[in-house]
Parts: sequence; structure tokens; C-alpha cells
Amino acid sequence: MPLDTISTHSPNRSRSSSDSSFILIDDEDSDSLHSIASQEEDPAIFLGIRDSDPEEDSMHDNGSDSSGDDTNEDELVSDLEDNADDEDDEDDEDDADTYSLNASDHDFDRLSLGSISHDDSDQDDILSIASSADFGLDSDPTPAESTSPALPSIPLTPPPPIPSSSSSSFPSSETTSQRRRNRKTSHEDKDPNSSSLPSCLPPTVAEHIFSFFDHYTLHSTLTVSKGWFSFAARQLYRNPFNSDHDQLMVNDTLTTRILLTPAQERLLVRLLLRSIQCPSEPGEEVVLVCEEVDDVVGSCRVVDKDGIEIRTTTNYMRFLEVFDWAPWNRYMNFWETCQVKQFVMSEGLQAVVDVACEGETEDDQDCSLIVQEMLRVAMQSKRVASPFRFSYNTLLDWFIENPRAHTVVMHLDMKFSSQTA
Amino acid sequence: MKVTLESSDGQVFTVDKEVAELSVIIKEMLVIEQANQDHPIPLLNVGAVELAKVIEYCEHHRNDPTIDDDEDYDSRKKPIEMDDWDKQFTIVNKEMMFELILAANSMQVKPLLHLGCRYAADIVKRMSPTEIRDLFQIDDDFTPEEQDKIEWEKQWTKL
Repeated sequence: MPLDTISTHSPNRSRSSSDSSFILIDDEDSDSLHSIASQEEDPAIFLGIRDSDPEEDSMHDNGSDSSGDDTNEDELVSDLEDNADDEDDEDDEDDADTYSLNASDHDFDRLSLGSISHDDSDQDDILSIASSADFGLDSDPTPAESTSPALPSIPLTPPPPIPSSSSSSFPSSETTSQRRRNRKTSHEDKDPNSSSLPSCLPPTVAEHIFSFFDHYTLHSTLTVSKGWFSFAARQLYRNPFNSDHDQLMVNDTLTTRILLTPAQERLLVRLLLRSIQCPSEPGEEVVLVCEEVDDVVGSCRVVDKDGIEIRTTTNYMRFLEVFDWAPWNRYMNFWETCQVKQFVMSEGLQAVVDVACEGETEDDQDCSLIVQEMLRVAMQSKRVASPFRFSYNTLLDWFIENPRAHTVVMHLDMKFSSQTA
Repeated sequence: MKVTLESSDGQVFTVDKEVAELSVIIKEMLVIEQANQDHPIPLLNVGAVELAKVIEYCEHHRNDPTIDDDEDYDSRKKPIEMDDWDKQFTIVNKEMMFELILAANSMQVKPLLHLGCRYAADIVKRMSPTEIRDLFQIDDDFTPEEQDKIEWEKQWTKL
């Protein structure tokens, strides 16, 4: 059941500046500022598109877990126009559009952690006093300065053995914040030329190393640094639900197969979303900069429900990559517990959309009416949800590009829902 | 038949061809430059120290079966048989190990790359984030709030 291709490319349409308000973001990659348009007044819609058949829909409607093929969404392509040109876009309200992805609602608050108790002491409450020299790893044991071509006899001074990690740490009475402050201070002394995994290694090699980590280590490495987080997350979510963990080695013994509970899966998906800078908290939004750079749509920034940015910018295409392998069906089942509506497009409404989008002079009022009609219809059915919120402009653009789509999944904006309830 | 290899810092090593051919790169270069084998093969990304170690490894494993590309990924999940020689070979300091990994990657000596990556992973295994940061001198670029949030989110792994 592949996803239809979504395209927001709209060559024949113009948008008024009234559609958008702007906030500034700092693009992580380019260090340039881009303007982001946010559509505050439009009735935003959560939209997911899929090829769907009624049987499949009813399956979701019944809350059944489609445990077979979870993820067959093929491709989601965003081809956004209306460039936010260069750095000048900071103040240019007309050059940028906004597309919002939202993970709003009461969703994650419902996650049950059961009897999970957070033992902070096992990680951060352990202060390691072992310098790298203590490990015997930084003290160079005269690495073969006698590199004579005479082979294979190459004299090497044996380095000291590497002690186990357990011998290098002890509990500390420091608070977490104190330790973090101390940690930053100590970093000022470090050799700027020293190698630092994984940045000192080619990505393929770093991935190779990370592929050897067991789950415990992978989860430890999530919080080492953002660079490590990326590699660890990639390993963790390579195949999170049909995992081959039974082949992983932990302390030279095979681990047992890890079976995740639904609550664990939800947390895993949530972490996955975090790893790709997607919204994972109630009320969070991703605001995408409609920026065309070498045919690759630009960056996005996660803002919280108050509009305050909380995550760094990422490339939208990276977000799209997740559709190749994310367990979206299960995730959608999760979203089904939220306030979710699905709109199955009728021919009549398609005709309305066609008319509205046919001419080149359609105005936003027409579009707004169409969307409101869509929302009205959507309110009548309760189906699978998608966390991705798009503006009605995006929605209509998609209709233009995909006139034969027959299923649209929407999640109503809370504000709008309360008005229409 | 002998093959001459030249490290990035100009040192020349003469090794048996079958030893050198454990490197995919060298093997391909030997095919391409078949008529020119008298000239040393330049390895611009590999220093003399690392090249000596790589050659030492290849000498010892000259008769080992090669790893196919198709097997490459799956084999990561399987236990690696390390004989005593390998264990002794991997007792080097951290910098040397990473240099060796880079050299193996550059020369495409897959068994050595595999061994080095496994060894590097073993260093990190079961370490806390703090220990890893200390070991590799990594800056913690998470905010305390981000740290706390990630810690909270991965609680389920402790079940």
C-alpha cells in the first residue's frame, strides 16, 4: 500500500503574502538565515496520503494492528517552489511558504511506562575519573618509529592493556548540572587535533563500528553527542521491529531476541522522530522553509506549541528518507488513539477541487472554502491519522499533482476541531 | 613475485604479491598497471607506520579465505574468530588502532577493517556516555534538557 507521491509543486498558482507570517531560523547547514512562513490563520490540516482500499481502511478503523507489512510507503517527494531567496529572505515575506508537520495533541502523554523506573545513576551519575591516558589509549607506546622496510619483522612496543570500563568510574555526589559544567570546562583543555570518533572516521567506517554495538551500547551512545546520536539512531532504527538482534553479541554471548511491547514501540518511534528532527512531543511543529536549492527542498525547524524553536534545522529530504523504512502503520495505529479524522475523497469534492484549481486566478477564499468542506467531511469519519500537517495550499497543490488520489488522511487542527465540534 | 608499495611519507615496502593482494585496491592496481610492476605503488593515504602494520597483518593472513562483498554486512553480526595472534595484534593504542582502521579502509583490506572496527567497538561496549566522552575527548553538545529528555526516552530499554 504505497504512499502516493506528494508534490507541493504548484507552478500555476500564486500565493498572497497574507498566507504567511514569518519567523527566522538559522539554517544549520548554510549558516544563513531563512525566513519561515507560518500560517497562523489558516485552518491547518494534518494530511497523510496513501493509496487505500476500504478494506484496509476498515482494518485501521477497527484498531487492528497491521502487523504484516508495516511499511510499504514508497516515496514522498516534496518539490516546493517559491524560493526563499538567499539570505535576504530574512525579511522577505513573499518568497517563502510554510508547510507544517505536527505531532500535536495528547498523544505521547498517553504512553504508559508501566513499571519503568528511571535509574539515573547508571549513566550520568557515574563520574569517570579515567582520563584517556588511564585507559592506556592515549599514551603512545612508541608506535613503530622503527618503520624499516624490512618486513615482516616490525618492532612494536606493546601498549598497556585496556582496562575494563568498570574500573574507571565511581559514583559521584555531584549533581548532574555540576558535572555538565565541569565537563565543558575540561574540554577546553583537550587537544584540538585529537581524533574523535566518529568524526575522525569516514561515515562508512563509523557505521561499521556502530554495527558491532549491542543495544545497551547503542543506547548509551545516543547521549554521547549529537554526532554519536545520529550513528546510534541509524543503527537502532535500521530494522527496529523485525530486528536481527538475536544475532547481536553482548559480551561474546548471543543475546535473546528482543520483542518490543506496543508502548516500547511507540517510544521507539518517538525517538526515531527525534532522530530526524521531527516533532515528537505534543504541540511540536516542524516548519519547513520553502526553499529550492538544487532541486532539494531546504530546511526545517521544530518549534514547540508556543512557537519557540527547540530543535536544529535539518534537511527536509532527510526527513523523507524515513519513509523508506519507518514502521508507519504501527505508528499510525498509535495515532489512531488521538483525535483523528480521515477524509475519503469523493468524486464530487474532487470536482470542486478541480474547478477551484483549474484557473490561474483562483483566490485563497475559494481554497479556504474547499478546505472547510473537506474538514466537514473529514469530521464524519474516524480513521487513521498522520502526524504530518500541511496547509491547505499544500493540500491543493497535491491535488493538482495527484488528481486521481482516492484517500486522504487528515488530522484536524485542535482549534478548528473545537470550533466545529 | 614481489610488489613494491610506497607509503605516503615515502617509505618503500617490498612484499609478496599474494600478500599485497589482500588489499582490494592494490589488487586492482596490479591488474591495471600490470606492465608497470617495477614501480612502487603509491599509497597516498597510508603512512609508513600504518602500512607496516597492515603488511604485518596481511603476511599473517595471507592464506585466509577472502570476504565477499555480499557477506560483508551479515558477517558483522557474527562472532569473529580471533586467534591469539589477532588479539596480540590489536593491542595497540587508540590512535594507532584508528589509523589502522583508516589504512585498512583506504587499502580495502576487509578482514583488517573488520577486525579493527570490531576492536574499536569492543572498546566502547558497555561504557557509559561519560566514559565514552572521556575516552574519545568528545564534547557534549547536548543541552542538559536534551540529555534529560533522551535519558527519559530510553528508559524502556532498561526493562
